[in-house]
Amino acid sequence: MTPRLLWFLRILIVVQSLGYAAKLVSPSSLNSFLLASMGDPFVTNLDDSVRIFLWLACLALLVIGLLNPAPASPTRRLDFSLLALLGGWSFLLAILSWVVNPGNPFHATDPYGHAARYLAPVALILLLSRKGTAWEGRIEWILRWGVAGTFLGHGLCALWLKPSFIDLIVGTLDLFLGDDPSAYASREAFALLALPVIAIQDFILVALLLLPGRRIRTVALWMAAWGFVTALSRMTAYGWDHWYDLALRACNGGIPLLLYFYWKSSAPKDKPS
Amino acid sequence: MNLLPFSSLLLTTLLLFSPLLAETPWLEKAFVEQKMEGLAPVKGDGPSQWRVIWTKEPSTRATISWTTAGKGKSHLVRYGLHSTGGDLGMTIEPQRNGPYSGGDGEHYHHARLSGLKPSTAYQFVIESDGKRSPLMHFTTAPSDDREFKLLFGGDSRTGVHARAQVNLLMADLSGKDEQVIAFAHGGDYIVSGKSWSQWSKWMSQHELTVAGSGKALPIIPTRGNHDGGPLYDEIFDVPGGSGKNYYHTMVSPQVALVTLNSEISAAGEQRAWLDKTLSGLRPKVRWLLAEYHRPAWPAVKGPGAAKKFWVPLFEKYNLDLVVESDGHVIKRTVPIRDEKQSPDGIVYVGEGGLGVPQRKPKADRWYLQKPGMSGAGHHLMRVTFGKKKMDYEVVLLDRKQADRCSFLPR
Repeated sequence: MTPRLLWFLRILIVVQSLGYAAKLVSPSSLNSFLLASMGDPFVTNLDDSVRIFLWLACLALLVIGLLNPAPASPTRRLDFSLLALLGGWSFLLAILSWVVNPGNPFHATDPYGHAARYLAPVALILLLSRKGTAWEGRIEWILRWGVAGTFLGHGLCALWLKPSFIDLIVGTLDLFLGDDPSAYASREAFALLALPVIAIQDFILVALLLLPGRRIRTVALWMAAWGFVTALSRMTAYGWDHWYDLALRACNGGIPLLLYFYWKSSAPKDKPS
Repeated sequence: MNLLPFSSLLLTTLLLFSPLLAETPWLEKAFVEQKMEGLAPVKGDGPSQWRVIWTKEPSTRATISWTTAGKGKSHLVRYGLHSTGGDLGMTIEPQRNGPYSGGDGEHYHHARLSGLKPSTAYQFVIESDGKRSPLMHFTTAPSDDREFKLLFGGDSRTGVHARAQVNLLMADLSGKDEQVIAFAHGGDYIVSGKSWSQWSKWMSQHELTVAGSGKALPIIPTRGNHDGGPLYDEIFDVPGGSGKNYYHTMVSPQVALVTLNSEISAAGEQRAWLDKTLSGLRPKVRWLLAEYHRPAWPAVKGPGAAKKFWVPLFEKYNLDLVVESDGHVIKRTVPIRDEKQSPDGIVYVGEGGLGVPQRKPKADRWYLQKPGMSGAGHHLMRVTFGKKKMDYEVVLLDRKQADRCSFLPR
């Protein structure tokens, strides 16, 4: 993978982590999980500490990216440690979101619906530490599975008509078509029709992405566009102050875009006619 | 060894604190455990887990609900006017019966009473297969403009012992004050809405809200984010309709409580209903309130969809008070309009403390500054609806007042 793509992946992880840090103005799933046993202020202090760590880790990742240290150097080991912790935090939140909301089918999709978020740092560690075509192939599949998990999780939520998805559609329609009380119910009806179609689209994209021996660039590009559009809908529905909801979903569209550029760069050049 | 000084100290301590313990016996673990042992077991033929439910027209309607360990053969409610002493001349069979989802054959029964007289105490006994519940009574909502009180609270999940304590406080507040006529629960009754065992525990503990006099406090239910699944509708008889669970309660001709469901779409049909409902209610009532689970102006978390989709309507129709839960703290915001403090703004209270472990509020948020407040502690909110003012207060487990505020009619 080219240095430019490695940088792109690093930026995605930094943006995502900034989103996680900003999101910690609200209690994390870890906070909720530990509240009963550890109580407050312990859980609040824990969230505050994680937030500070995330800010510092983002800064450090950018600096280390610029320094580009040697693979076995202490700085690179620090880089890997930070990436592992960032991936671990995403993974922990995805699991605990499910655990602290028992019986909630939407939260139950988080362990795979957030796969792109926690597999992105894993992929960067491997790309920086393992060389060779074989390893690149394995890492490409890690990224493919991450995107597939994310689209599968969101597709299932759409199929099950997740209420917050309905609100994203209605809120976005309000923004572009105007706030019209007489249209609230019909916009919800439209969302209820659109969500199963979106779900089917997501499932088809997952199937095409996971086709063995195939790299369908159009699919990756479409997933990138759709990933960014759906992440952006958090802001079109709720306003600019929800920027962190877009940021922490940077990998939803970013990783498919990375795959697109990777496939494009490694495809045989078209012969001149 | 001379035990006299120790005994004297113990006696002095007991004498000093005995008036407090007499006022708040639920602070003693042994007292709570003793009360818990007295709860009706969900076994055999008899009724248990009784509750009175209010939804739309509580001046003339109420639903008496209970649980039996099995399907049973005959179920009925005997009821009559409390003023006639022991008369239980009227009977009604439950219109809706069925097995609880995920249970071990336990059944729910809902007897929907209608044609009741307003502001009237009805006594009742639940009878299943010949076994009877204790004699209880509740008072219907008024159809005139008399003063009365409602209790509010949310988040009774997780802390089982603390939940029992709050229920005993509720029974005490209700038993000692005839003006307290109902309790509005803001949601998150239990951790997992699909867990029958958790709901069963909650319902059994709900018996603790019945005062020593037998006064049962009708519950006005709200669905919280932990209350997903079919059991909520089986327990509360589908308040507001299946898939909706939003409705408005005319608690009196001058007081309306709009209960919203923050667990379904806030932006669509529910918002259209809210707009229509508030526009109809505002000119008619003096006190217009709304309640839902996920806060628009949270003291701990980020704002829910209510802020974007419901707050403009609250401001358009000048609600007098909005009750929220979910954060596990105590809060009262400054009056808010157009996302800033305004003398004619809407005040948001609550955040939930019916037993759930309490958090530390984010007291630096602008809308929690004075004259607003934030704090923590298991609590109930008591609202008195008068002709000239509405009094709001927060009562802690030790009966101390954590907050109070008065509102004038708009």
